[in-house]
Amino acid sequence: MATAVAAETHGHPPHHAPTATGLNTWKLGFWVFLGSETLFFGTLISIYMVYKGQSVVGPFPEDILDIPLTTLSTFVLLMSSLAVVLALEFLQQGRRGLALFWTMMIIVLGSGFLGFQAYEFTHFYKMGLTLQTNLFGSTFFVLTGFHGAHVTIGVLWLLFLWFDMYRGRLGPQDALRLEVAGLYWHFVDIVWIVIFTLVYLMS
Amino acid sequence: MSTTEAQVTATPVRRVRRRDVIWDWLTTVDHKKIGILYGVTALFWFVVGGIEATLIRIQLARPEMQFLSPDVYNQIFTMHGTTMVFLVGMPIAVALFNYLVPLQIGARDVAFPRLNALSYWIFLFGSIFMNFSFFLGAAPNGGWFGYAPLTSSQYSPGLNIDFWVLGLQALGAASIMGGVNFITTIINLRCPGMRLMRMPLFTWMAFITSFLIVTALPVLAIALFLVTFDRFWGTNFFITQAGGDPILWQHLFWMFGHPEVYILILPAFGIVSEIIPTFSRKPLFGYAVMVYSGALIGLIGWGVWAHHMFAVGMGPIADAFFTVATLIIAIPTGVKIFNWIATMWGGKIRLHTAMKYAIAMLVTFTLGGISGVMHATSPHNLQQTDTYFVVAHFHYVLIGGLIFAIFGSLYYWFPKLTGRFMSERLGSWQFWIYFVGFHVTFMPQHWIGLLGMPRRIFTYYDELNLGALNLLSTSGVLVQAVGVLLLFVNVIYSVKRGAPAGRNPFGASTLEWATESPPTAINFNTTPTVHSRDPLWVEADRIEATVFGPVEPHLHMPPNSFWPFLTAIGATATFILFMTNIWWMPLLGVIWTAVCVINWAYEPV
Amino acid sequence: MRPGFATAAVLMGATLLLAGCEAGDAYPQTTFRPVSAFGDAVNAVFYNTFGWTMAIMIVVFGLILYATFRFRERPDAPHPEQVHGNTTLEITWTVIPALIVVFIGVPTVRTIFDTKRRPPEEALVVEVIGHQWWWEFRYPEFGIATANQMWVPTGRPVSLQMRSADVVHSFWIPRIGGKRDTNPLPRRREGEPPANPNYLLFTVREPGHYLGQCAEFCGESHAIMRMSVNAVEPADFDTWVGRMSGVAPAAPAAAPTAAADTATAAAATAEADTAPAAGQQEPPVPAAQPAAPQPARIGEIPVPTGAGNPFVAPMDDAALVEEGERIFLSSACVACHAVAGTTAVGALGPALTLYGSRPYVGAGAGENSLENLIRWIRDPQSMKPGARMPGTLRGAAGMPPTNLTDAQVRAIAAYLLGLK
Repeated sequence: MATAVAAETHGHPPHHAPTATGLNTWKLGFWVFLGSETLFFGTLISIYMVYKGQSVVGPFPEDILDIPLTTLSTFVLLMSSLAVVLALEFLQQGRRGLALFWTMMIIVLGSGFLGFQAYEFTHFYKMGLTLQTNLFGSTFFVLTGFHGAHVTIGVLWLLFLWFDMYRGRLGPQDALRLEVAGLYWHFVDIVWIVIFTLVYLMS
Repeated sequence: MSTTEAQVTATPVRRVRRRDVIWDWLTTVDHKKIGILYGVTALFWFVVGGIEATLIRIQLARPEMQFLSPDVYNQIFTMHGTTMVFLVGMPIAVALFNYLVPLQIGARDVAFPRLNALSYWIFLFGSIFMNFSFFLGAAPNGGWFGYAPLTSSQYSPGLNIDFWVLGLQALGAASIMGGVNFITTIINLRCPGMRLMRMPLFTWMAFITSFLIVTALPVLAIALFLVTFDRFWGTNFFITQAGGDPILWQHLFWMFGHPEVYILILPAFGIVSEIIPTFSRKPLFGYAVMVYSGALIGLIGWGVWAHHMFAVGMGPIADAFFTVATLIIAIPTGVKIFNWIATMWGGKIRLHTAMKYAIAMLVTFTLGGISGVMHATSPHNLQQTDTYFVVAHFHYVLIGGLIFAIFGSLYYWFPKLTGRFMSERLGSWQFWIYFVGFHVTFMPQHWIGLLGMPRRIFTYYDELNLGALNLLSTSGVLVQAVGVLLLFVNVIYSVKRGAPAGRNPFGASTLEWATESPPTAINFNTTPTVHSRDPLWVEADRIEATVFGPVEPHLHMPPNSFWPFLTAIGATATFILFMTNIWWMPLLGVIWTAVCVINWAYEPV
Repeated sequence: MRPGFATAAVLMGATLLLAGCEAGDAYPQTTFRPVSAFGDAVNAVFYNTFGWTMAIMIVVFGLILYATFRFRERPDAPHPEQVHGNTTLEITWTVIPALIVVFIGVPTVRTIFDTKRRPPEEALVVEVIGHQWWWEFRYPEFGIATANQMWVPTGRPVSLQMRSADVVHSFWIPRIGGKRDTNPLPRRREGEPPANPNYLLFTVREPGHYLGQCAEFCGESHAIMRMSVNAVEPADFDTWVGRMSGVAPAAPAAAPTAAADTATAAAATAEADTAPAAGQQEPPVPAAQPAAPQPARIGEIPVPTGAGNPFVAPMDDAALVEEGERIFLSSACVACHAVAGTTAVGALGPALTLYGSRPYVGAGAGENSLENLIRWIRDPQSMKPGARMPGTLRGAAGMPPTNLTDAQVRAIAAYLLGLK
């Protein structure tokens, strides 16, 4: 569904007449969608918290979570949000080269985060923690998996935007397109900060 | 011979034309057409759900009937509930939102027309997918509430629950997209002067309902994902052996499920709030209070979910909290009823069929509210819950509240949709037959429940002495069936032969009546500017001058698009392929969807 | 006219409702004739709510009726005054419902806390365990267990500790009071206290046999998951406990019986049949066999009659009973069933101690007659679709058909019915 909403707000900027509130319709719609997403992740995180410590058999979070490594991947994701700000700023200023560079940086940092996650998942798998092992495995993989899927969609979306920018089809007048994708990216980033705090730091 | 030749030569021409029409409907992004698609589909499922209801009642007509086997009965009652909530109640409200909200706020379409089309197609395919299970003899059979762990693969190994979780997931996604669309539309696409507190009550209720949809449905989505993963990937969310707690499912389900009740009923409040002022020739009494009470109901509706779970054993503090919270909802609801009566008071009431349904809704919904208050009191709820008393209660609310309002809305807005009136004579008969049939069916169920008959049982024993009341209830269903049949007869007759209606046949006050019947593709030649809550009563001339004035220059309407349809196919295919249990199969659906989405994104609009 | 009709219907209904309170005996599962203080308290809440809501209903219907007729369109009527609201009125009809909510809410909350007290010391603890589709009742105080029929002494608080062995069920004896779910409890980590069971506390006032059934949808045969509470004087309860423990001698096989009914005769004729080999296909069934071999529908199940406790007259054939005991104890039955005082200690299925005194076979699938019991042992699924017990005709729940001849089945049935 995130994909469909992304598609709807990816293409050409809206032709809507001045709106009742003065707010841009795409941005408003996307904010509403993110509100819905908040409930989506809120529920997932609540379930993780409810089941915390309820696993009957190990491995338990304290045995397996690697906080230093995840701190690094969290830092990478946070930096990508900074890249979003810069990319948008440069795009709006019409400085194409810098906008291209920073958009690519978002993609690279986002992919880096996904790489960390892939490593973490395989590592856990080798240590005997799978979706089926215990409640921790089920809740952890489903929560972080859904988050990872959102990051993946974001990376793909930005990739398309980068190509458009590269081919000169996305200039300052269409900066809204990057702005909306950026909204999504910031949201996914904030969700991760919550996950990082509740799942890793408070384990 | 000659006739055959004539046909042969004639066919291609006709075919092309028909194909154009079909193509137009498949690719439409026009909110009015999508509204009609939603409405027709929902009415179709209403008939299917009604047939299921009839089968249930035949099985229960006498003690120990052998009309349906237990398993078939369980499938039928599960699908009856699922169908009526997700395939009738929600989409029929969305049908009206689609058709009316842009017209009522002076807009040309919704904010995201293609997303709107996608919502519809996913809803359609999802509903077909779920009902297709009947042909495999494996329709969902865990109840519409699907309590864990009965839905786990251990206790329900068949395909039944797979159809349920995957089908509902699709329907939920469609609803959320619809909700996002309507919130954005209502906030941003209001015409000049249409301040929030000037919006028609129906649009207000659509607004509040949409907020409930985008907040409640994600909870259901997660709950369904958990069951899906438990079933397909062996996760442990509701598996007690691994420490999972099935009560969590109940909390999640009702956290969605209670707001869902208001998702179903608030649109009905909106409809009645349009019909009563029109036929009383008076503005709605206490407009602001009506808006705030609707919002309050939606808000408190989020804090009462556990009143479905008093028997779970939550402890006295939780019981007391949810009892009181639930009782409090009665206050804004009561205020609404008094305000509707006050709107009629001193008016000039015309008992058109639409108005009859609106008044019948007040009466029946009041009864449903009363039994609702009885439920809210948790000590006696322990006697009522999971009995036919509850069945009676929510049918009073959902048929007496929602369906009466929907039927009323059909008589009310039919002239706008088609330019013709529905037959009043047939309508009056239809109303009385349906009204009587309804009460004969459901009134006895209050006693059936309190005299000890649980819900969801495929049979009951003679010694309970409930045969006569059950037979009475069943006979009512047959009367209702006649009522529904007459409604369809009326619709089909009136589409072709109804008396021409004109733009504003009932002298209503809201903007949709300023347009042609049916409205043109652009709704308004020039976007109107309003200065009041009841524009067509206060400033009709000025409004008409703009609506039928010169067409706005540089008007751009979104072109038709085939991508929503194709994307919906991809999304549904992903779900179907998921059921093969081969890990890469759903990826085919994902790739199809991705291709469609990319094309969608780059489609010029 | 329309609101008039509804008002009439509702008032008529209210009368009927009150009538329902009186005619308790006619409705064995009525909620209107409670036999415990718990049931009384719950109903008091209902009557309070009922009174207030009926008052509201009469006012609302009166107003709707009056408005509809008084303000109906008349040709000469002027255009109505365009009233937009009236603050005083609106505050009034907000405050009045709010007050009524208080009048309903306060006694309700009080009752919630009253009826959810901790059980007193002297309470009789009964563990209630829901199974698909039967009920298990354990008495930890006495170390006994029974199924589908719970015995309780009158006058002593009974504290139910409830859980489920599989899916969610709900324990409901309407005349005793409200229902309570039996939930499957999550397993806990080694060394941690187990999850809390659900609980219900009541004291039965009058001796009697009270019917109830599972109230939460629990799968295919949810409708045939019935149970009863047999409330007896404390002295009788003690006697029962003694006999349940297998300590006291079983009641002597007494009165001669009219059990030589068609079923017995038919079963006798079928004695010549050889038993089906385990796991093999079903043998052809003689046409004279009264027990329907095909998956029968519920309508074919004989109707249990009477709400009392229909004790079935015992076999007079002591030898048959003895033979039945021998076969039972050496058969696969004991893998799942227990009979106190014997070597049968299986715990998967319902305990069968004093089985003969129960009113129903198969948790309400039929009256506990010899005919029904034979049919049940041969083919339980014909009486209760989805039942987890293998019969002689077909297996169930992964178990093969039981390797018993019809003669053996008859002997076992005679033995079980003699346990009382």
